[in-house]
Amino acid sequence: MKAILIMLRGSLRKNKGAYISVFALMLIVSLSLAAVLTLLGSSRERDEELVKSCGFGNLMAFINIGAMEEQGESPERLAEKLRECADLVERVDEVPALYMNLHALNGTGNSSSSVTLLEASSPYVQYGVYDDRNRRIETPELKPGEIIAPVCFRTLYSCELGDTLYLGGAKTNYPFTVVAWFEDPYMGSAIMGVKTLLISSADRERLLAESAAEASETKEDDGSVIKNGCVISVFKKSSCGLSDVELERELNRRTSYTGYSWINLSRSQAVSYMLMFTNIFSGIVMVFIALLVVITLIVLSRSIGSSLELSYEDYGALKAIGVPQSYLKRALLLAYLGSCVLGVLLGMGLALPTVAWLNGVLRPITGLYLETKLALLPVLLSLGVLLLLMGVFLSVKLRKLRRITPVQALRQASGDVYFSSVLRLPIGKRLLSVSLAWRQFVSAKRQYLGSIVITALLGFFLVMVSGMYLWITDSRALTEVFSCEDYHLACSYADSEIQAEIEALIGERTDYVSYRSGSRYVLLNDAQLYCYVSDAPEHFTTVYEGRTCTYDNEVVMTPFVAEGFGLSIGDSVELSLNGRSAEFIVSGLYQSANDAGKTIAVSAEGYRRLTGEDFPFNGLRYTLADPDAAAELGELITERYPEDKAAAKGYRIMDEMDYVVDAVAAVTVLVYGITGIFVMVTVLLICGRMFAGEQRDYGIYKSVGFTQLRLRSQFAIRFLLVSLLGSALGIVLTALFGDLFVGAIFSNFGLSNVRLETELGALLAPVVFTAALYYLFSFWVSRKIRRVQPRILIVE
Amino acid sequence: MSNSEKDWLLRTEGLCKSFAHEGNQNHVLDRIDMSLYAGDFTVVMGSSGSGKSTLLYCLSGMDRPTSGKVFYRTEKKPETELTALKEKELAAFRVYEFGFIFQKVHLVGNLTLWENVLVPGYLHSGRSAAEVKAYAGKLLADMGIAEAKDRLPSQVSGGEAQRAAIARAVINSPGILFADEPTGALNRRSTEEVLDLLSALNQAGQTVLMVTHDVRAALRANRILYLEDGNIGGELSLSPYLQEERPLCDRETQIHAWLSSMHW
Repeated sequence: MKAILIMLRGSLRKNKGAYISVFALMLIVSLSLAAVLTLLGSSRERDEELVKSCGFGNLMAFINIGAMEEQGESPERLAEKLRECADLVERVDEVPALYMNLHALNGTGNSSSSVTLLEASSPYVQYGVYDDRNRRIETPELKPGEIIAPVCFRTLYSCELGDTLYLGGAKTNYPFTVVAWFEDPYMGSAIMGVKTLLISSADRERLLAESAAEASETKEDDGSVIKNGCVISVFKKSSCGLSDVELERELNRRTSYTGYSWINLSRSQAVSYMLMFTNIFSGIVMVFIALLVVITLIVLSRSIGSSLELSYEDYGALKAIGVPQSYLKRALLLAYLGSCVLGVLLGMGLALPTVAWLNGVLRPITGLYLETKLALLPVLLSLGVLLLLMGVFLSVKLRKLRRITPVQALRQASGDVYFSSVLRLPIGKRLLSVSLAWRQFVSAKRQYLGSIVITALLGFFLVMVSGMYLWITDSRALTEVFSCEDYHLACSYADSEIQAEIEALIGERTDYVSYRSGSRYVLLNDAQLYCYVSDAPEHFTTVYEGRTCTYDNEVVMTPFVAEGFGLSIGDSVELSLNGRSAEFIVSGLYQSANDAGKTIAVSAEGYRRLTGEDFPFNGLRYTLADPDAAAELGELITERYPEDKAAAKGYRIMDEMDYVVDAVAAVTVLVYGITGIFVMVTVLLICGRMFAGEQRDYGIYKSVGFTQLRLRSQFAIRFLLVSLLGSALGIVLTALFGDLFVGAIFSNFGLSNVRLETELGALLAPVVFTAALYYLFSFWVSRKIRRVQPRILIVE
Repeated sequence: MSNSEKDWLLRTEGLCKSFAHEGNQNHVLDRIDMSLYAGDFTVVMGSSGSGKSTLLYCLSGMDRPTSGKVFYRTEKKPETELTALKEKELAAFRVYEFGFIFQKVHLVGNLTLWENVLVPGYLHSGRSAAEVKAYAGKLLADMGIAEAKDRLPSQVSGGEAQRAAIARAVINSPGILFADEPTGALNRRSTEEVLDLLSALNQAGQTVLMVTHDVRAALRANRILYLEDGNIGGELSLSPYLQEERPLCDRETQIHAWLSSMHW
């Protein structure tokens, strides 16, 4: 044992750079892994725990009482029908609610988001309430005009406690002061379009009275309408073996209850919506971590290989004096594995503050108040597996020690160079440094293979996140994905006179094509789905298989819906709405991220065939001959016309999506940052080793008159070449697997057919980034060339 | 012509080199005043550890002396103080004025013999690539290794590699060719071939400074300096022998006798 410890000490002294690098890589990997696993685990655990304990049942149906009564139904009767399904249902509750629009914040802005207002004192609202320091507080006794908002309002509207929210419309709006945040486990994520707010009983009474007054007036709807409603909460019987989705379908089959609601949500749906952002964020980081593990293995392999090469003589000598090979192996294994274990331990230690930071950063997006504690079991398990993998890998790689024999080692301490390559280019007077750098690369290709693969993997990921960032910041692409249509400008008008005026205005600026579009929830095999309706279905431009729903008996759907219902193009399907049904043929598959991909689309004629009525379109979409005019026209219309007359938006239909852009930007920066660290560690490790092996050559070059600067540039150029080759391979990998990977990540969003933006910027930025890092770091490492003097060539 | 009548090419003033070892100063070179003359073939001999190689480093600018100065004379500039030059200026000196041959050859392993010779030639700003190639071709032919020029150093014999190293050292027609035990790692036949080449170069006007402990190598010199206790202990001029064209064995006897007197 003593002998092993002595060798271990020697090895640590000689190869401390390698061990520090391995330690650093394992630190990054374990820190990221522990943080992401904790985030994933605790988010799911927290939300599942909350939805089970918050007072609502397995299914929630948000009912607009007025609309329901028009259909000759009442919440009480519907609840009774549901209770009659006693084999499935334990309990059905009716929770009073109001529905309004969120109009503005602090008197500025313009939002048309629907909000559900619940009484803060209701026993159904057992939500956690928090102050602005994220401390849980008792639910405050709300005074009139006070409101509790979900914490995601901070992200969505830059709202802070004390700010004033205006509910209603441009003419009539009701101010509320935000006094606390609450943790909404159903709709609290910034990713969800509908939000819940908590108000006082007095305000509810006041708004109900206003609602009654509104109903008696016949004024224009400017969005200020207060809709009386309730949430029907269904508790599944413990003996019922159906999943929440199956239960919803079965209850629908028996009662058509979702036909009366404007939103339905099951616990499992709520959890999946709430965790959507976390899953996408974690998915990207997890894939990156997997790549980092592969890179760490490559670095380890290279480090062991060069360490053995450089210490060949020493190991030969040790074997010659009788040190068993197992001792050498154990000493090296201890050193490398020790570095890994230390890296993992410190990574785990640092994971806790990282988790605290991540929770803080993601809270306004996910809406969840997560505890700062590690998900110990999955973290320990995964890090244990990681260490086991490292141990096995090291053990296999260290088998190379067998090949060292004392005689060979002492004879061939520094091996001669033999190589033959078709890539050998002549050395020229012009670009002498580049041609010499290329020769050094070609003559020892295997040494650089690891670096090329590492660069390719990093390049692959960098190109992908850059492509994703470009895709997501391309507002038109995002609009297309969320609305599934192509348009440059969307307008809604109070009357046809204004429409004519504005269309004239648009026509002066550019030619255009207009069409009408809207959406409704419909039932497909008793399951409620978001349905786009358009009078020009050729504008459903995200159809990627089959064709759009041109005829009135055709429907297009997302692959998520098609797979869920076992449908494919050409199949027949029954759609229902308001008690009427009609058969449709699946004509194509398209993409839409709305409702997490649970959407279908039909033509206006199709809608008429289904319901017997025309679709109540309330806006027009314009496709412009000059798309650049859209933003300008949008601003012009907003300036000239009050919002109760006309509303226009150019390109972006969802300003609220900014946080997704910010999140992808954050992931991009994170990935670039970690890549920077990995490139640095890799370069330091590989260059350091390489430099040690090439000192004699630098002495020779110096003796014939090469300057330090020229030699350092020559050294760095070699790594620049390695980086460029690696990046090229990375681009090829992206071309082959990029869309597949991004599709898998975004399938959470209901997008499985994402096309990466592979424009020049997406390709060049990572290539330039890695090339610059490789050049700079290797140039920095090569500063040691200053210390190499030609006298090392002279035998004393 | 006596040394005092010749033009010096390189000279030193009070050249000292000391190394600190366990707190003590070890004076390897101790106030050496010496000169090298244009066209000479000078050999430095001395017992093991006498500082022969250290003197070579200091004279050629490969190492900085602890104190003292080294001057070099060119046609353009009568006196350049090598010891005051910066690293970049020294690098330029190695391109244009100094050539080196080492005991262990030291060719760049991933370059062919031909490329090893071309590379320093390409650093010469006054020559075109075509001129460098033409001269390199001539040198390799003169050295008898034209056929091996496309081989890597690992694919040729030690003698061939050393001849390529000589060609590399003289590709830019240096003022002085420094050779550190150039035959130390060669067999007898290769040794003679290399020494013949060095003699031929010297006869063509090349100034040579060679460190050796081999008396047979020293036979090629016209001047031998004996280094002892960090200083020049003695000097033997072989010019009379060369001029009188006396047999080699006589010169060898003369050198042995002189070395004996130096307690070799």
